[in-house]
Amino acid sequence: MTVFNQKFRERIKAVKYVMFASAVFSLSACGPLISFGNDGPADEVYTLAYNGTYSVFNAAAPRIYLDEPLMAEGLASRKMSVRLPDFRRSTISSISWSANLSDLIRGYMARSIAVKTGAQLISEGGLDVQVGCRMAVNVWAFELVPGESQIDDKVSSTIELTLLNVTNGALLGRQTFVVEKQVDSIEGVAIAAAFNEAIQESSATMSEWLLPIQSSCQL
Amino acid sequence: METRASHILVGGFVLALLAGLVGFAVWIAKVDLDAEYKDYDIYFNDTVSGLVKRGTVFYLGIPVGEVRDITLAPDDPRKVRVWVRLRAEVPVNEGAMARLDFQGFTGVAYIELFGGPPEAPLLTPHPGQERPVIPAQVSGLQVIFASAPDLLDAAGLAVAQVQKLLADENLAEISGILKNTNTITGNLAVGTKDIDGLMVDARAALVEVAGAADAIKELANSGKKLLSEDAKPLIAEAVKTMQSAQSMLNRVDALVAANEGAVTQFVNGSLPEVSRMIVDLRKTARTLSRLVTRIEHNPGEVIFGTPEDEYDPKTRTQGEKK
Repeated sequence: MTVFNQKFRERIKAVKYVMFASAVFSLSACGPLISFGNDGPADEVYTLAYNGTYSVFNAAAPRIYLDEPLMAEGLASRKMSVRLPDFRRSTISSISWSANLSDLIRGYMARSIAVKTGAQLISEGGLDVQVGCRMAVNVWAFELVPGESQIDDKVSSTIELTLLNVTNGALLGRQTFVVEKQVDSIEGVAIAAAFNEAIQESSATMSEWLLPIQSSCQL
Repeated sequence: METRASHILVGGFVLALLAGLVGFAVWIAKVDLDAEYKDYDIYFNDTVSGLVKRGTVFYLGIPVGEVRDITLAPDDPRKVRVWVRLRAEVPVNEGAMARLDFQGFTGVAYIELFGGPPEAPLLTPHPGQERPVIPAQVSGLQVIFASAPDLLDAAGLAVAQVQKLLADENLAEISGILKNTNTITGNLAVGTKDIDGLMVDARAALVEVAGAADAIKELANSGKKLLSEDAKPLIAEAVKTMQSAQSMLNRVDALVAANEGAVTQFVNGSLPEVSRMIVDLRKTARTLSRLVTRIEHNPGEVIFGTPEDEYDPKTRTQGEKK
């Protein structure tokens, strides 16, 4: 009785192995569950690089929390967006951002505006500190706009800022910054350079806009 | 044969005729050969326009003389001297006054005399005067005539002001005011009706208030009874509850005092972060909602991604689907 039971258990175990192997085989026949990319060349990866200095600590400076940008039209991606005629949109092949575009824009703005205005901009990773204002960011456009020919190609940046006093809920200001930069060549590096010029000019204008009103964020 | 004329008879007849003619002329001219006259001077400070020589001089309305001459005063060219001749029996005494009057507005001027008090002595010439001088006074008509130009100027000014007042725009304004007044009075009339209604309502309300007062009085009596008899246990229970609540509040107060630093840190530091977390949670919830919707719609798209044509800047076209 004991020997029979032992043999029966071994057979059942063998059947389980066979069924598992069959299932794995069947599943693998359906194709990969997770795409690991094709066999083509790897994407060129670019970033928005701020080449200035880092902001210094000033306890008396106004403290502003820089909100995560709200990206319109699916711009929150690692792919570079393209605005085509007839309401078509696409992404540029073979080149991409080094991180999600919203993170790149937020990081660039946090560093650039903090250095130019002297304000303490609290961004992602900032500690739990009390702030006087909150700055909302809406990215309406940050994309390549191809023209009739390569000479007409340009990148377009449209970013809207809203400054809110969190202590009394007062709206201190709202401004939209529109910048367009020409793309020098069809290479990925030229496109990335145009995007960097656009964000550089935008952040400079944003700093000029913020300077006269940031005193309202003083705690 | 030559007729012999009686020269004596002819001469007598002629003399009688001449005497008759003289008598007739005296009778016709009503010459009062027995009358005696006295001359006076009257000095007027204003014009005597309308007064003429031989004009009549009245004493209290009785003609008593005439104007002999009208000249300027010898020592003052601003005055007019009127020489009058009055009957000797006219009692011109000290206090008598002369006044220039007119027979109507356009009539002839004449001089009216008013006597002085009966006991006053008769007027005599002062030293250096040719004749006694009767003082003159200004008549009402003279005052009117003197002030007439000023009156006319004032009247003209008044007419101009009235014309300004009655300008078209002012008339329009007045018309508007009258309309508004009409509206106000109409509303007032309506309001009076409303006030009547209000008074009726107020009277009814007062009746109800009186009833309510009676009810309150009754309630107060009941409450007194309730407090004195039934509420004692209830009040005792309430006092006990309040004591318990006070004890609990004391414990809470002690707890907060012991953790004041932590509470302050939470309020000042953590609450803003909680606010940000709420915003992030909303965003996450929206993202999850979209993800669930996509999974429900096409699970394969979530796992394998959405096939799309990518744009190639070198060929300036969209390539094959990935």
